[in-house]
Amino acid sequence: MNISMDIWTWVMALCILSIMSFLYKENPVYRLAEHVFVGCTAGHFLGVAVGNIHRFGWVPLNTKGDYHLIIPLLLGVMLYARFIKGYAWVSRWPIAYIVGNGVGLSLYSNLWTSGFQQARATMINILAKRPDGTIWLGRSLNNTIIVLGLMAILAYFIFSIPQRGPVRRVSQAGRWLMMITFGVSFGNVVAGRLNLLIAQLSNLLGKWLGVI
Amino acid sequence: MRREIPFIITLVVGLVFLLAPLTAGNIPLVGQPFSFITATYFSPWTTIVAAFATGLASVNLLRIHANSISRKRAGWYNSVALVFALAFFFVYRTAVELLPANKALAAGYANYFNNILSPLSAAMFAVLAFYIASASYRAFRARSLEATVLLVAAVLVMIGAAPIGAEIWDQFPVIQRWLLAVPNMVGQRSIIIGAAIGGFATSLRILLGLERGHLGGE
Repeated sequence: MNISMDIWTWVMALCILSIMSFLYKENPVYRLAEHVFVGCTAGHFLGVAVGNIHRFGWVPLNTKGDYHLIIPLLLGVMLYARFIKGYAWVSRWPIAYIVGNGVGLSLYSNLWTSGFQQARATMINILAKRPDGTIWLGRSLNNTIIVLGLMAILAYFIFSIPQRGPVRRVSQAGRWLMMITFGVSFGNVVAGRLNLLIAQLSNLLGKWLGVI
Repeated sequence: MRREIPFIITLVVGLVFLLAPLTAGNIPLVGQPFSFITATYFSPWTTIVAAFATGLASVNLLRIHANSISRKRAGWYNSVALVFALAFFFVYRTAVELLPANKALAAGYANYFNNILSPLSAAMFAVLAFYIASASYRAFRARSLEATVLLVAAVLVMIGAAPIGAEIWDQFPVIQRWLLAVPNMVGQRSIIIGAAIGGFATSLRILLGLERGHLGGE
């Protein structure tokens, strides 16, 4: 055992142990660590936001004379009008600007990249062939699952026709495929979280206590 | 006035972003293409307004906890810690942002970030692993065929990703890779396509003024 004498390592260990103490039960130390975590995160991102305003707004406005940047600075300040009674409606202008941004991007760019390009990538030949011209059975099976699976899942989300008869059977197959997708996503999340846990235990046992 | 101007702002900004990738010629009277307007003006504007919006979230957080402290609600001392942590990190980070040439300041902040914020965040998500596992046990107890399919896929992915999986059976990583590359890809792709179509429909409703929730209801 070779316990660290570095103050920062002790701080790190204290932070990890405070949060981990929740595994025993809800306790005041965990509550305090949780609040400190929220405060630190909010403070950090607030500082980054000030940096962005300075870098992209204040500096070009003052050094390059980009006077158009007065508009977003004004819109940004207007967001805070929601805290002033009687003037809360002023904050709708910057919100309208942000929504307009999202709307414009969704109408074409998102539909193109997330809709059309993904659909185009699915339009593949089901029968895959090897370089020597023979049929590649494994890849053909995968291609079939990709093409028919996508149609089956999309059929599940068609609400304008009744889900009965053959449509119901196709959409049922789509449901199963979605369940596999959700299972895979869930498995990935758990594996990722376990990785984090191992990293924290490694910090405690290695950096702090020096036993591994 | 209170509803019309925001609607016009949404309409104009939305149309400019919509037309930017679709048109190449100059806008009459302006003399510049739409893509120039979005790249030169709207993109930096969005960064700045979004930064102000981040501040709005912090102000809300501060209001709630200042209220808790002033009324001495249960656990008010936790709120004191939150406000102190927020103020400290905000001031320090802002100083780092505004004085980028000061390397000592950045190094000092890195100590606080790496030894307080980073372990707190990682430990919080690591702890959630236990709760995800126990919640999933309760939620997915193979009650139906679909739940069983989900559970089996999750278990195969977890076993295939762990080194022990390959030790038990060398085909586990192969199955995991196939699940990720084929059925998972189909599912993710369908969801992405569905979300894009849904986003398109909602955006169209907003642009036409049929959806005005962001303007305070209706």
